[in-house]
Amino acid sequence: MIRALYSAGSGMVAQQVNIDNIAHNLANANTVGFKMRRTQFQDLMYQTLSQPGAAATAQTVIPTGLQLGLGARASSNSIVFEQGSFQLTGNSLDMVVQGKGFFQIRRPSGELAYTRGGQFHLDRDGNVVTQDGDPLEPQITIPPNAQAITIAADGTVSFSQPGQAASQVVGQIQLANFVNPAGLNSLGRNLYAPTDASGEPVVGNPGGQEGIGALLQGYTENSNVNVVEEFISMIVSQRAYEANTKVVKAADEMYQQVNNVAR
Amino acid sequence: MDALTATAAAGIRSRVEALDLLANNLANANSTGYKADRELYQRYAAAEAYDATTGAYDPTQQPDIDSRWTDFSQGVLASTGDALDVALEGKGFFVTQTNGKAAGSSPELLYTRDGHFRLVPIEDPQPLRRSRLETQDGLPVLGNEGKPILLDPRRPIEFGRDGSVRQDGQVVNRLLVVDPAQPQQAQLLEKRSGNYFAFDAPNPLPRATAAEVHQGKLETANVTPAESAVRLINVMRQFESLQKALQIGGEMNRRSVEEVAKFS
Repeated sequence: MIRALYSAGSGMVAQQVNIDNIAHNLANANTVGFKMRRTQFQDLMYQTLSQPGAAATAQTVIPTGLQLGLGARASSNSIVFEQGSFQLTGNSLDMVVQGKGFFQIRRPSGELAYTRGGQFHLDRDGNVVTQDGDPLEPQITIPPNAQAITIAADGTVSFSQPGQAASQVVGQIQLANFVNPAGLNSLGRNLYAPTDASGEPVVGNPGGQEGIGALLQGYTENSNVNVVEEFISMIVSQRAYEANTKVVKAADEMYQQVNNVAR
Repeated sequence: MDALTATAAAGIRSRVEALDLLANNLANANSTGYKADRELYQRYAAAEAYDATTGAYDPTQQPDIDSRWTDFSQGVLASTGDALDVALEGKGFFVTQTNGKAAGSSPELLYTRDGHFRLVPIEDPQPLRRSRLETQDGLPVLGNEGKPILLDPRRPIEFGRDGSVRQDGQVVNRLLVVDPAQPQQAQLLEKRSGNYFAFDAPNPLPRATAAEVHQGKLETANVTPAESAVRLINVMRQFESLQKALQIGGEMNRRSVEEVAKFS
């Protein structure tokens, strides 16, 4: 009896985690460069009441034992790095990585972080920075008299000056790639940090290395949250939660009846 | 204890265990590749029936849950779009191996239908910087010759229907998908936590013949809410009937004691 109560309880906890994750995905449906997470579930321990293959008599064995499972848990929610759709903004410092690469961001602590959100701005010194003011790495500085900024597919940043026909190159944006991007640590604010599971970043020029991806100027990458899919997951999760509450109720009622046996 | 009370009590106990199984199934309704557990009741017949047929009445025989069996029917293949998610259609299991680093344990083969894999960098002596295909718990997924599958993480990975792993159009490895030779042997698979099964046998399982690998999909649990709801009602009502039987038995005992043996 107690087993059923706790198994159903663990199922409810697992579904709560799932709903939490769905809520996070939906809340970020409009976050530029956001990558959704998908929850995975696993079964818990099994209590073996009779071992399969144990001897029933001298000649025969029990074909299947009695193992009672003790519930489920949410085992992981890995980041899904599917490409999001592109949206035209016309802003010259908006960029999309068409591939697996990440922009490198120098955080205030001096450490590097990685992001897919390619919405950049200029600070007062002309440095290309994120919305939070963290500079892009390698640093790109645009002089104040620059007119049109052009970012090529290979990351070369150039600008034109009034009265001059030739454009000037100020630097090249480099991207980082990871062996196992799903193992990255989310820092919030769209930033990721490498871990032992993700492997060390492999830095390269956009469009060069296999799979790192080329840059596309004037576009932003929408989040890869599929709202319809999330809603369906939500319905499934809610129903699974409800089914588990029914088991709790059944266990409770059966317990009550046991108590009624002894009058 | 009289026969009615003993039998009804055993029946009640078995329904409690049936609820335990059902609770675990429902808790795992979203576990990838989970296979539902079902109960097997031991046959119970009255002493007279034994005498008339096979003879040898065994008074210890009660309508207990004798064992459970696992329902290995196919779950639905849900599309995820992740290149490292693979699902099996038909009978078969992916094979992984524990490292045996825990105290007193040796490497053991574990079988699973949960194909949510990932690539993890390892120290590759060759300059290829290959990565190892692992399950989400970090156990290596085995391929040709029962060895871990090493892949180049910088190139796209394709899984063929037959389990072949291709990079740049070249077959680089093949997922080891196994299945017990005889269908009834599948019931000897012992469930472990984490969507794994263990199989205690001297010989490794042979390659599956009837399993197809689908990339970008995961197999959902084969627990359906509607069917589980019906089972839940079944268990509860049977429990209620048995409880009534227990009450009637008690009432009969009370009457025989209080009224039959009444003398004034």
